[in-house]
Amino acid sequence: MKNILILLVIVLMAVSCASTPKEEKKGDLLSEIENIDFMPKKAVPYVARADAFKGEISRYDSISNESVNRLPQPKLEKMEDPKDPINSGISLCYRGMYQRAFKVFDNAYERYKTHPGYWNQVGSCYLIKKDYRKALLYYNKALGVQSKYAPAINNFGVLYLRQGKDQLAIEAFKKASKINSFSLTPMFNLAHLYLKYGALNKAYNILHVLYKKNKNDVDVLSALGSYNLMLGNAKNAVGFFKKIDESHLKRADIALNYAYALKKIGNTGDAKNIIKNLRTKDLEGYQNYYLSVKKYVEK
Amino acid sequence: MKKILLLLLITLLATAAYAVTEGNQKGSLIQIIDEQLREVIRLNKQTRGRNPDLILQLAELELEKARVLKEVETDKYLAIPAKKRSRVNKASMFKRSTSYFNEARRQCVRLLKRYPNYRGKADAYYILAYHARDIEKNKAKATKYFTAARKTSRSGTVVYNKSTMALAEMYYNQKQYKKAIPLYKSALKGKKNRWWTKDAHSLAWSYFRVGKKKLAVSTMEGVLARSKNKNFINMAKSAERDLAYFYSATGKIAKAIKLSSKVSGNSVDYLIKIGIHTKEQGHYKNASRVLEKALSKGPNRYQQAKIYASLLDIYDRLGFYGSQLRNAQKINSLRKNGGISKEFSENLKYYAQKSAAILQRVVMGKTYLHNKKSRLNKANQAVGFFEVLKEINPKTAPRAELLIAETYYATGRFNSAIPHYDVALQLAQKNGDAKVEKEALAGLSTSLEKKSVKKSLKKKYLVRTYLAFLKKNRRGPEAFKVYQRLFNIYFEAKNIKGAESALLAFKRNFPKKVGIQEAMLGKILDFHKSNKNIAEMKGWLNRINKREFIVNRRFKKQLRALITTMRFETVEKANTKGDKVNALKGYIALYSDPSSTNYEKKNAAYNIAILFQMLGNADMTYKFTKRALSHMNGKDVKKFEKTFITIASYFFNKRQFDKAIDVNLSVYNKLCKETSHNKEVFYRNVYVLNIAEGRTSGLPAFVDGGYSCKISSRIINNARLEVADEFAKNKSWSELSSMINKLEKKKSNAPELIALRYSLYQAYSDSGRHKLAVRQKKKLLKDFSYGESKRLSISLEARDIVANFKIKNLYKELRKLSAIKLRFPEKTYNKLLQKKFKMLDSVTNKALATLNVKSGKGIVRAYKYLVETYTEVAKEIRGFTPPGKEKAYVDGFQKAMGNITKPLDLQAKKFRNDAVRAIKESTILSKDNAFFTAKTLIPVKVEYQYHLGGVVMDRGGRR
Repeated sequence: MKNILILLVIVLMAVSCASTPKEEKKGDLLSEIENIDFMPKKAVPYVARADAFKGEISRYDSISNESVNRLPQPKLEKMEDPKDPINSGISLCYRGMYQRAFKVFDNAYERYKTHPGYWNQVGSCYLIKKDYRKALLYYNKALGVQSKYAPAINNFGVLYLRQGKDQLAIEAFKKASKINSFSLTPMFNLAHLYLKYGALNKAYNILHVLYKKNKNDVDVLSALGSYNLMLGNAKNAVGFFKKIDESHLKRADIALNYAYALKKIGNTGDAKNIIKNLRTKDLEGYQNYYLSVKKYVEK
Repeated sequence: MKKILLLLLITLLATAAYAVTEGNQKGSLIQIIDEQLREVIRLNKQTRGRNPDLILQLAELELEKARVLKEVETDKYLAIPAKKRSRVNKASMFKRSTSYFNEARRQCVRLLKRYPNYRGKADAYYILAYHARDIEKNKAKATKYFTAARKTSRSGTVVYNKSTMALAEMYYNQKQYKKAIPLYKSALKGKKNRWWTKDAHSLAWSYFRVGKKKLAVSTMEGVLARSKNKNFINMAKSAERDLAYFYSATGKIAKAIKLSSKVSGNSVDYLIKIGIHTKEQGHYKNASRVLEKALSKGPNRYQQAKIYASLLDIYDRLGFYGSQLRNAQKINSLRKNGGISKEFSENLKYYAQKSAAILQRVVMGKTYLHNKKSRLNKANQAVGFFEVLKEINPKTAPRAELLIAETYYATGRFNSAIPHYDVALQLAQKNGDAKVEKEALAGLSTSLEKKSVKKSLKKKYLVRTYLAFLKKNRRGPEAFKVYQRLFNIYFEAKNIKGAESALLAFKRNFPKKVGIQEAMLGKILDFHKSNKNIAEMKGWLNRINKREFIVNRRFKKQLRALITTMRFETVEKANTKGDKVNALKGYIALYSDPSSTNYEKKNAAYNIAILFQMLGNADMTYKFTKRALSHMNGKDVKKFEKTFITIASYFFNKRQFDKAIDVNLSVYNKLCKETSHNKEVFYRNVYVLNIAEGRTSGLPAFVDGGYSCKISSRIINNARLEVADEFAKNKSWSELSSMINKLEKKKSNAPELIALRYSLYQAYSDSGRHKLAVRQKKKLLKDFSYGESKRLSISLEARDIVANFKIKNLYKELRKLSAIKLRFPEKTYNKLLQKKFKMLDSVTNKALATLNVKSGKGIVRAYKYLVETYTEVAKEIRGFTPPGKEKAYVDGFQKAMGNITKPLDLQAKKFRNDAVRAIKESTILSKDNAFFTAKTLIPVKVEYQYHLGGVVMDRGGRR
């Protein structure tokens, strides 16, 4: 909360910005400058209804009309669009091409400086880059432009999660969800958090909706599988896990509970196989659980 | 015979004064007298002196000889050169004649003594009278003897007549006219001899002198008429002159002038003579008329001079100043042509001065105050005299001019006075006449202030007057006003150089009158402003900057702003009209101009920065923002602080943190000593952006420096907390420790310190420095207690930390509880069971105390431990089989234990339900939640941890 207060200072600074900077010029400045260069460029207005991903991307998973966080590289590459600097920037950020991403954002600054999505994305770029302090500043900037911009608030939650402040995160997700009752990403995040902390009913209520929306969403299927496993319903759990494409079974969060459920229903072979193939680099924070499950599966 | 001789003698004596005798004639006459003398002496001797007639004859002849000899001696005396004559003994020169005179007298005295009743004694008295008059010079004695001669003679006789005439003449000469008149009348009775004209002339004058002017005129007319007769002495010349005078004196000027025209020769001279004569007789008015007439007769220069000279006196006596003035002017013109003597010139000067002085006194006085016309007339006359005087004596011209001016001034004719004051001033300055200069200046100054003075005059004379005044009076209250008036005149005449010089002079002499200087300077600058003469304005500003002129700060500031405004006018006009390119070029040119002041450079740089910001050129915006700041002081920055916030924000928006930090820091440093609401914004931006950039090393010093810039302690405290938090994240333990030491001084920081101390605690623990770790632990627990007691806001994170410590302690207790294993014999069992329950009670209390920490994680963990412990204890009791006992004992024992374990199970269930409720109600996020909410699968508790942690939301999504 203290951080938010401080960042509001920066937000105020941005709001008080009265002039209209433009893109930088190169070469001999004075000879190349024309009066038109001083004219403020037409700002791209923020239209809430239009602030969503469209087309194929939007159908990729249960929340892909709001978030492309889970999109694979090829899909992200397709998002690059010179006419849409936000999408281009997002694409580049998720692909780790930060320098290019920021250049895209800087070039779009004049037209998008009043667009909360622009500042949200600048913040997200820093978040992805794990520069959390700056991410926080620019999310605040987004809120300075649009105080009830759900994505920025959701992303505060993500930021808190990355800092281990789950309690603050859940508050942020709830707030984001409350601001826009149709936002799925905060709900998605809440569901995973609920599940993590054993609030199974709350988790299920959300996961159920998400599942209905997209029955192929890997993370939803995985969460529902884990949910059922937590309830002791290993058979149902396996049912959900089975729907997940094999390519995702290397993910530790999926593999461990899937293997656990398979073992529970007696399919030790498959369980062992899954444990064997999981990506061990995903095991951060999972080590003890991994060892316990592995021991159990291999018993 | 005797009578004939006496008559002859008397005749000779009477005519002696008029006869012209040559040397030989006198010699012959002496011979004749000598012959007669010898004859008379012989006869006298014959009669032994007994014949009085012979004595008388002897006396008469001796008298005659004495007279003739005297004439000869006189001729000789006069023949001696004048220088020698003064050294000659006059008595010796006239010795011979004197001896005969004395002898004649002796004879007469002897005669009168011997023959007192002598019938011809009148003749003797006559001789004695003659002697007394001419030799003894005893008028009284002469009068006595003439009177005696007249009394003792018969009327109509020669002696009687001559004595009468002699007496008349003596009285006449003694100005005893009343006595002379009857004698003359008596002498002139009867037959008129040729001398009648002469004596009648004296009679006429005697009449005139006693006021019998008519008789005087008629007598003189008689003299004139008989003078034409050759039988009479020709007295025409004198008679005409005197008659004209008598006419003149009796007011019969026409007759006098008419008479003058009849006079042969130069009538002008004649009139002049009459005039002068009339004047001498005190008839000034008539004299003036005659002389004026003479002037009309076309006198030559010399005659004119003579007339004028007389008129000077006449007019003066009469008080005819108008005439006197005209006269003086004419004389002056004559003087200029060299027509009068120096003496006459002095005379003129005297009268002119006198008249002028009198007239001016009159003008200045009260007498004619209500008779404006007369007063003006007299003033003009005075002026005329002064004009004459200044020409007569150029040395006194300054004074004369001054007096002219004063006269005009006195009659309110300031427009006329001013040029004369000015001339007086100029001349006085030239001649070094300080007194006149001073007076002229004063008069000039006062006159020029009058309302009725023409503008043209003011324009012409004011400046020189003021300059002259100031030359003599550099300081003082008058000079104080005059400098300002002079300045205004120059300024109104658009003579700015003059106005500037007036200002400079004023400043030199009144350096402390800053307000007036400012006002003057303000006008000059306004002028330059209207003429867009920036160079001049800059010149003045430089003078002010060099402290040549002391002006107040506001003025200086305004001037500087004005110059800048003017210099910037074109550029700003372009800027306003949207010609930003030229505006930018203009600003850059102004900035690059070496002659630009710091103030102008500051403004130019500031505007350049803004324009580059509009262009989106961050580098140039930064460059010129820094330059602008380098030219600004705190007050300037304060004035533009909102713009600097915008610029700093711009760099932040463009993610140029280095520039944003630098601009924020520079502005903050400039504002340090200023009172500014935004100072704290810059302060916070500096440390927030530095933290974002990961630059924390210099932050403690910066944050603490806030005190010297009067940043509120609240803000500084927040900054310290922020920086401390960053130190904790960066694992900068020593810096964190140092910061905590500062923060702990403020007790209200206790809640925030918990997490920070915990970080330090962990660091100390990890590095094996347990004492330090324990110290931090104790402090954070103390901080928590303080926060709770003061009802301060304590974060969940802090509560979790505190709860965690309590849980750890609880866990130790639980381990002790678990370590108590039940065993038989029964007595031991009972003791151990009792101990177990006692510990269970203690643990329960501690767990419940943990709940008070209000940490979600702590609550769930505490409940978990309670549920586990109660369940475990119940299970242990339930599962205990007393060794070596019979089945019945065992059954009874277990039944009894069953009664004990039931409440434990119920309590465990209750704890579980409480935990579930707490989790749901408080949305507790704890990994232990699953213990209560998930099915417990053996052997592994299911865990779920989403691999992304959370999903970033990129768009708002559909609605």
